[in-house]
Amino acid sequence: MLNSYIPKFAKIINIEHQTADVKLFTFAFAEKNDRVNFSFTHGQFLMLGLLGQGEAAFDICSAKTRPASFQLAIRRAGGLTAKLHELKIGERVTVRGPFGNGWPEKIYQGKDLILIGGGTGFIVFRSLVLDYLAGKSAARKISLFYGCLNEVNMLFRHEFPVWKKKISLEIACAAPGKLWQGATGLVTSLFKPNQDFADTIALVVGPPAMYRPVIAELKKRGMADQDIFVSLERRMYCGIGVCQHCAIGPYYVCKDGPVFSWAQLKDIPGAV
Amino acid sequence: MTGKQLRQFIEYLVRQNIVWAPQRVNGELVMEPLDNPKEVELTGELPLHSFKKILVPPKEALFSYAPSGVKAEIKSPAQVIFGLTVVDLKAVTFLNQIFARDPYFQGRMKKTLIIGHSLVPKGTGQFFSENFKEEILEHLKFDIFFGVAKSGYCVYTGSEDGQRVLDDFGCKNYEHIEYVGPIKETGKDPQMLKIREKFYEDEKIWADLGQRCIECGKCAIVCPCCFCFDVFDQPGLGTGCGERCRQQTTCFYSDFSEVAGLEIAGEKPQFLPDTVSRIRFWYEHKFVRCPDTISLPGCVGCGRCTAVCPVGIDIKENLQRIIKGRVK
Repeated sequence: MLNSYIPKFAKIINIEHQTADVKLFTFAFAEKNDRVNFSFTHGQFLMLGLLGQGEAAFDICSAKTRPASFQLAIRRAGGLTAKLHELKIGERVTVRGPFGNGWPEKIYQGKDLILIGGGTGFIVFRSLVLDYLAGKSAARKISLFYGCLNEVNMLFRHEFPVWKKKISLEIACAAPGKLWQGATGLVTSLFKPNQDFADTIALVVGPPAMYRPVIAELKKRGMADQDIFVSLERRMYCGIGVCQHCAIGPYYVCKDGPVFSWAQLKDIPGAV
Repeated sequence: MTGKQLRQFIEYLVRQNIVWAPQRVNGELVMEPLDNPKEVELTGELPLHSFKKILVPPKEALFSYAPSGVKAEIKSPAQVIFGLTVVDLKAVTFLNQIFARDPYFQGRMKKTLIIGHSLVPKGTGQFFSENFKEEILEHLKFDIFFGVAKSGYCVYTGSEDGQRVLDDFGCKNYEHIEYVGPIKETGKDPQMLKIREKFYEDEKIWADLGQRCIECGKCAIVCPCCFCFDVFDQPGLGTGCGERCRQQTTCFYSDFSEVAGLEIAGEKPQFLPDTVSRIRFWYEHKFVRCPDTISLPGCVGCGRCTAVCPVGIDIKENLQRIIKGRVK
C-alpha cells in the first residue's frame, strides 16, 4: 500500500531574494527517479517540510516545461517558513505531492484569461505565465492584474520586462512610495469601466478579503459564476482529504481544490 | 456454542493475545485489556470510550527521522477486540472506509481480530441505531460474531482469520458471512440522504447551538467516528532525530483552522473563527462530507456525544430539526 505520508527529499539548488520577506527557492529532487517522475499542472501545490519543523502547503511557481527542478516562492510568515529562510544552497527539504486540482485548462483552452492576484496570491500565476511565454499554454491571451502593497513588496519585478512582451500586466500599489508612477489603490481599480469580458475566464488568488470585491467587479462586467475560478489557502496536514483541516462546506481544498469555480463556492459561508 | 464454551474461548484468546474487552471498573463500563477472562461483561451497553483508541490511537508515529533519512515502521501487536455491539461494528466499518488507503490503520486491522455480538443498546432510540438482524452482518467488518440466543450463541465468521481461530480452538459449528461492503443492496441509508438533502435549509440551528456549545471537544473525543488529526514533528534526543506524529484533535479547538499570518488581537488568522462555524463544521463533516465521499454518515447513532455534552446538546434533537428543514 502506498504510504502518502512518506516524503521525498529535494535539495536547494538556488535561492533568490525577491523582497524583504519572500525568497524564491529552486529545488531538485535528490533521487533521479523522483526527478524523472515529477510532473504537475498549473495551480497545484506541494507539501514542503523540514524534518523537525513539520510541513506546509506551497503553490508551485515554476514552469511545467522544466521539470528537472521546481520553484517555490516562500514568504516568512511562521515557524516553518522562518526556518526555511535560514537554509542555504545544498540543504535538504522534504516534499510530498503535487496535490490538488490545478487551473481548469480544458475550460480556458483557446479563450482569453485574466489573472487577478493580490499579495503572495500572485505567486501561483508565475508558472502559468512562464509556460505561456514559452508557447505552452492553452490560453489565447493573458491579462494579468497584480495588486500589492508597495514597490518594495512587488514579487518577480525583474522578470516583468520579459513578461510584458507577450502578456498585458497591470499593477496597482495600495500604499506606494513617493516614486511610484503606476496606479494606486486596490487591484479592482485597474479594471476599466467598460472592459469587455466576453469569452474570458478569470482566475483569482489573494488574501481572503480580496475575493468578494474582485468577483463583484467581474460580475458587473458580465462574467458568469462558472467562468470565475479562485484558488484557496487553508491549513493542511494530510494533503489527501482525510485530516479535515482544509474542509469547506462539502469540499476539501487539498483534494477537490485548491482551485474552485465561484459557482461552487458562492453559497458556502466562510469559504472566502 | 454454549456459555461455558464461550468462556473457554475467551480464556483461549487471552492465553495468546492482548484481548480488549468491556469490563466494569468502579461502576463504569470500559474497554481495556483483559487480565481475568471472568471479568468480561457481555452487554448491549456501550462503553463511554469505544474501541477507537485501539484502532485510531490518540497519537502515533508516521515515521522516524534521522540525518540518514526517514523510516516508517508500521507495527501493531496481534490483538483481539472482543464484545463490540452492532453499533460499534458499524463505526469500525466506517473507519475502515475512511482509512481504506491508510497503511497504518490497515496494518492494525490486519493484526486485530474483531469479535462482535448481537446485544443492542436498550431504549435509547438513537438515530441510525437498529435492532440486530442477521442481514446486517454482511455489511459489517468483523472476524467473529456471536448471535445471542436463549440456549447459547450462534457463531458467525466474517473473515478467514475468524474461521482459522475458531478451527484452532475446536469450534466447527459456525456460519460464514461474506463481507460485501458497507452499503446495503437497497441503497444508501435513507435517513442519511434525508439529512444531506435538508442540511443547508435551517441555518438558524447553528446560531442556536453556537450559543450553547462551550467548545470542550468531548463529543469528538468519545465519538467512534471522529478522527480529525494534526501532523507534527516531535524532535528526539539525538541531533536531527525525531518522529513525525499524527495526533487526534477536534474541530472545536481554536488552532484547528489557523494559518500563518499577521496576528490580530493576539490571535492568528483562522477560517473557523467562532463557535457557530465550528459546531456547524462538526455536523457538516458527519452529515455532508462523509455521505458525499464514502456514502456513509459519520454517525452510528451511539449517543455518546449527547451523554458527555456538559451543556446538554442532543444530536438526535438536532438531526430531527435539520430534517424538518426550512423554517418559514
